Amino acid sequence: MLKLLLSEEIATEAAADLRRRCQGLAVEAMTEWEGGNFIGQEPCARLKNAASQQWTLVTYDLLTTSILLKNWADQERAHGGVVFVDAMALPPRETGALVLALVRLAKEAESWDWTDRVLLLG
Amino acid sequence: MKADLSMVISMRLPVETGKRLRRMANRHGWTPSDASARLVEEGLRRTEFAFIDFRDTPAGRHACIQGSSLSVWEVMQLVRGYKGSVPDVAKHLGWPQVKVQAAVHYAEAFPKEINEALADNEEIGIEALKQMLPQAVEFAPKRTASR
Repeated sequence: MLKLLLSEEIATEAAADLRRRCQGLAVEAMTEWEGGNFIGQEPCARLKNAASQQWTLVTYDLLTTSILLKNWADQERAHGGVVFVDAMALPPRETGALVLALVRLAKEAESWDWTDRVLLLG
Repeated sequence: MKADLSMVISMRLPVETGKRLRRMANRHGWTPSDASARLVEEGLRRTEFAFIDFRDTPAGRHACIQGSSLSVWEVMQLVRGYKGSVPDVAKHLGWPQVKVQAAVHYAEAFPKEINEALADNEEIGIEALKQMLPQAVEFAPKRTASR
């Protein structure tokens, strides 16, 4: 089952909008997740906790998260999936377009196993 | 964070501090001299710029915004997207405007550092992603929706 964890650079209203449009889809904003305890922590700590609960991270940060995932793959560590967002195709300011793209993804990917899945959304 | 010109200043450190410095330098593959120069530079920047902190990331140490998960370059990605509008970015993030402004000021002072991170992030497309993570696939919802 897909559970989306929206990274901090994604607009605060996106999680609520997604929940409204996709009832039953588990969605959390990083700012609210686990009482906001993971705000300000290193990327590795966030991914580790997300992985332990099978959350799929949605992020515009290809720079650090891709290297982190490669390091994890080298160590044969599993994660709950990562959706990278292509900022050229879905600019961060166009929150509505991102929400629609995630709604379509959620519908298509409802039954996918998200373990170690990596997707570039664009 | 490399300076073109350098000067030598000798320092007297407590033994335990020296050991910690060496451990940190080893962890990052730096010399103790590099590590101390970086820490001094970071300390100065923390003093000179509001809301700025530094954090280890898999892509190296990055300037970031205190009390946030975001690096300065990520805030600047938003600022560019909103055509320089600090109030719009603050609203987007649910932050006070001063925090976004702090990122803008840092980026203005160290444009090379921030522009390089932005360019590096932009350069990672599906091909580069597949090289690092062979399972990576592209998902274009508009195309799949029209099938």
